[in-house]
Amino acid sequence: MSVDTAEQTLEQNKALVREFVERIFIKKDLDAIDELVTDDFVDHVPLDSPGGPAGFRASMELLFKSFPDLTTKIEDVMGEGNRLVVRVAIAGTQRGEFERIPPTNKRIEVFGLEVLEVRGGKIAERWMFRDEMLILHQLGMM
Amino acid sequence: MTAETDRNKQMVQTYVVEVVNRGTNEDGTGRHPDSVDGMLELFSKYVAADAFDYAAPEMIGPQGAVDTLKVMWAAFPNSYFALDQLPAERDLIMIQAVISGTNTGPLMGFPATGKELSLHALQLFRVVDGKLARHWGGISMISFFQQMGVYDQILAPRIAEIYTAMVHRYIDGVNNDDAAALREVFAVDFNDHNSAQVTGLPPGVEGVVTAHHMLNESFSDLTFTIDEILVEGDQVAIRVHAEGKHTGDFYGFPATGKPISWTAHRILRVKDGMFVEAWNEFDQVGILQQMGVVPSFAPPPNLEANKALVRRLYEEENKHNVDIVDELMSADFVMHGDALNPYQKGLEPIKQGARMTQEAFNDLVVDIEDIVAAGDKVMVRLRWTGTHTGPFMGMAPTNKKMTWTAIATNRIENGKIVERWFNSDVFGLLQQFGMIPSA
Repeated sequence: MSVDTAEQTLEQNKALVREFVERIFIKKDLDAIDELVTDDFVDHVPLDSPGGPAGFRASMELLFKSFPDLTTKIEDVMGEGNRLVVRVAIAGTQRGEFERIPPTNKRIEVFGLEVLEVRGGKIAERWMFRDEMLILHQLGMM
Repeated sequence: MTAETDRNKQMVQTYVVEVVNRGTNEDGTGRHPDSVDGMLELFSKYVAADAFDYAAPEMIGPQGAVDTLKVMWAAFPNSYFALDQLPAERDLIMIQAVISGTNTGPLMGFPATGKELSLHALQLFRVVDGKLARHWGGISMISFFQQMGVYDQILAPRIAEIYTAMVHRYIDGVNNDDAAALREVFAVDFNDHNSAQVTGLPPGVEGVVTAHHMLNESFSDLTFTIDEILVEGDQVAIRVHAEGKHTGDFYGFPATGKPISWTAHRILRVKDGMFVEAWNEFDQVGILQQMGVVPSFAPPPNLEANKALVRRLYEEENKHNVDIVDELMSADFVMHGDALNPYQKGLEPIKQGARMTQEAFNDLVVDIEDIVAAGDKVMVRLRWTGTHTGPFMGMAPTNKKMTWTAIATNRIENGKIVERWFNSDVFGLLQQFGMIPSA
């Protein structure tokens, strides 16, 4: 693969992961999941869930139910080859149960990382980080 | 990839192998000694002086990195950071790894659990002048606490506070007839397993609103007081009591104007921050008994036993056995007396009064001239007779034979006299002393 082609692939992949975050996290268009992820999509964090697109959709629905006003802002996109990283800022108010915590009506504001593996023009694997120590503090749990 | 990005990548790899893993291979061999001597110097080769971590808790500079890893090594001496991927671009490097280790030391106040943990780690670094300068990322701390088996322990006291606040919102809502407050804490499809206690209630939260509205119409100034709240898991068990005045229809019984109180227990289950179902018991029959529309189930009083108890008290008094009151009367005894025997509580004043009278009249005898019992009360007509041989009511001994009468009501509870109302012929006694002229 020439340098130019590698650069082109990286730019295409960056555009794909931007679209992934913009449509699913920012616009909350969960129908985009089927379009953007592979049928054998694996969500690695926290559970290495082999639930495919449906499992991912269910976990996103749960997240938006916990934080109905959740906002996500893309801070940076970087990567190498097919492995991409999106650094995000997330904020929202906990109106539903979240990780066994009953609604606290408290606001969280943390950063997060989305690490995504692209295969055949779709997202095939996902790893995620969010500052859960800070979330537990912000929700008054610690 | 630029040559600089490539150099950064190699530096990060060396950092993980030599510093984070202390030279340990995945099979546990080749590890550096645990000594912390020179650790700061070692870290300073890789970590910039002003290095900053965006994740909580903030760690700053090589010392911050040393402190963080020392805590981890103390809790997980065999911890190993298995590098997976290192995507890099510009001055940024993402370390993807799996951290594993056995928890054999205390951490954050929790004793060692012996648990083997394995967690994905995502660490994004910005490299400046060949050193790690900025850091975003880490592990899922919620997964970490779950794998340690302490997550529920961390949440439990905070959740109990939230549920307790919900109970207060609920009871305040009931006391203020505030339907909005009830709709805040009861789910729309709330399931009251005892809804049949009140007929014609709508289902869900509206049933709660209606039931309490009806209670407020039956009882004016109705107030519920929380006596107990127990929280475990998703269950909230409460004990309350209610007080109000029966000024409206209740179960078809018209207002009696009587003050009514009752006790109740309720176990509620919470889901997604709302009460979703509950089981309820309250003293309905007690309410009807207080209204006077249902008879009491208490066993009929044993009038003969009550009379025997009172008779025995005065028989023993005639034997100068003053201490018998400890056996026959309650320690909480209350005396509603008269000029001779004023209001008294407890048994000491009774004993003192008896001794004083027996010293003033050394041949004193008390006779029961009439005895009448009903319910929990025994009324006795008494006559005392004796020779005035000692000082009494400020009077020096006169050696005169004297006699006086009294009528007393004794209330008996659990086989003991708990309360007494008393009137005696003090007037006649004072006449015998010559303190008041005789007619």
